[in-house]
Amino acid sequence: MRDLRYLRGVTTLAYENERCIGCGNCILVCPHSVFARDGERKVRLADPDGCMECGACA
Amino acid sequence: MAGSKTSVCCGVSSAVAHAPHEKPGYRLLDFVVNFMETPAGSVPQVRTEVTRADRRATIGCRLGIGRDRYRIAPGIYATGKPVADSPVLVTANYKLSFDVLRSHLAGIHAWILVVETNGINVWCAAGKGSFSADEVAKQVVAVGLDKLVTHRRLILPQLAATGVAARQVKKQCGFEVVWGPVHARDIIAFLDGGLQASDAMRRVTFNLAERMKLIPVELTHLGKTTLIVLPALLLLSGISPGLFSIHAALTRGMLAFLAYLLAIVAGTVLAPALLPWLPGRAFSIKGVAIGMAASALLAIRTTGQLTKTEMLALALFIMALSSYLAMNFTGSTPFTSPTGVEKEMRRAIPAQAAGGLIAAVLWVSAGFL
Repeated sequence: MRDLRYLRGVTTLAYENERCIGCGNCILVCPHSVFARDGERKVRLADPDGCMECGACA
Repeated sequence: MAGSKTSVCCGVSSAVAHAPHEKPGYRLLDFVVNFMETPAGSVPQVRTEVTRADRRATIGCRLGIGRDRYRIAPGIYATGKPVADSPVLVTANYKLSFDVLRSHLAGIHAWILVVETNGINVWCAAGKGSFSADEVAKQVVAVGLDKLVTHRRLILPQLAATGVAARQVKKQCGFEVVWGPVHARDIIAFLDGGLQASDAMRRVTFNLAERMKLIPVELTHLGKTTLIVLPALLLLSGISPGLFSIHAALTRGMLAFLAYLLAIVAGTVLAPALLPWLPGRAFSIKGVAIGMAASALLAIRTTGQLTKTEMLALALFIMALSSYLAMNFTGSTPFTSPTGVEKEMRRAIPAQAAGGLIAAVLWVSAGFL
C-alpha cells in the first residue's frame, strides 16, 4: 500500500502512552502497519498518515 | 426409443431417484457433500471446490445482482473430517466470504463457525458492528462449540478486529481469539506456521485486479441516474432562440450524452484502475486529471462539430462529473479514512457543483451564439 496514500495529517488516531500496557495487539491487527514497537513495553505511531481509521486497534 | 428398457411415459427410473440427506421441506445446498454426526449434533461437511454455480453467483454479486441477499445460515460447518483438536475458523455469512474461505481449505480438516452478519462481508460487518464479540460468543454457545472441540481457541480473520474485542469474546464464552491473516489464501501457511502470520499476511492490498473487481457494481449503480440525465441533457441541448429545437436537442444532446459517457468511463473505470498513477492524493483531483484526458479525447474526436464555448462547456462537465465519480470511489477502498473523505468532500463538492453549473450555463448560452 506504499504506492496508495490518502490525505496527510487528517487522522483522528491518537496514542495514549500512559494507558498503553504494551500488549502489542495493535501492531498485530493494524492492516496498514501504522504501529511499531518502541522498546519492550510501549509502541509508537510509525506511520500515522497510513491510518484509515478502521478501529481495529481501539 | 424403441427397445429401450425404460418407458418414456414413466421417466427414467433410477438416475434421479434418491439423493442422500434429502429431507421433506429442505433443499440441500450444493456446497454440502455430507453430514457428520458429532457430540454437538449433525454438522454439514462442505466441499472446498467452487462450482460453476458459485462462480455465476459471484459474478452476479459483482454486478450488484442478488448481492443484498447472498447469505448462508450461521452455525457450524466442517471441511474434511475435523476432530476435537482441529482449528475453528470464524467467518461472516456473506456467501462470497464463505466461498473464498472454503476454497482455500483444500486438504484441511477444520471447523468453520459462520456468524450472522446479514450477508455482509467480514470487514464491512465488523465496521458496522454486526461482526462483534457478542455475535461470535452467541454462535459459540448456540452451536455448543465446547462439546465439539477440546481446545478453547477461535481463529478470526484479522479484519474482524475492527468490530470484535477479543477480551470480550473470552469473557463471554471462554474462547480465546487468535487473529488470523487478512486473506483466506494465507490460512494454510498460517496454520502450518504455528498460528503466526507474516507481516505481508497482516497488511491489506489494493492491486489492479482488486480494484477492477469493484468497478462493475459501481457502473450498475449509475443505471438509474442515466435515465434521468439523458432526458435532462436533451432538454438543455434543445433550448434555442426559437424556444426549443428538436433538431438541436438530438444533435447537441447526443454530443452532451457522449461527454457524459466519457465522464463515467473516466471517473468510474479509469480513475480506480489508474489510481496509483494519477496525480494528487484527493480522489477528486485524480478525477479531474483523468477527466481532462477524456476532454482532450472528445475535442480530438469531434473536431469541427463543436464551437469553442460548447467544447469548454463539455470539458467542464466531464471534469466535474469525473471528479465526483472518482471521489465516490473513496467509499470502496481499503485505505481512505472517514475523516479524510469528509475533508475532501467539504472542499470538492462545492467546486464540482460550480463546475457543473457553469458548464450548463455555457452549454445553453452556446445555443444562442
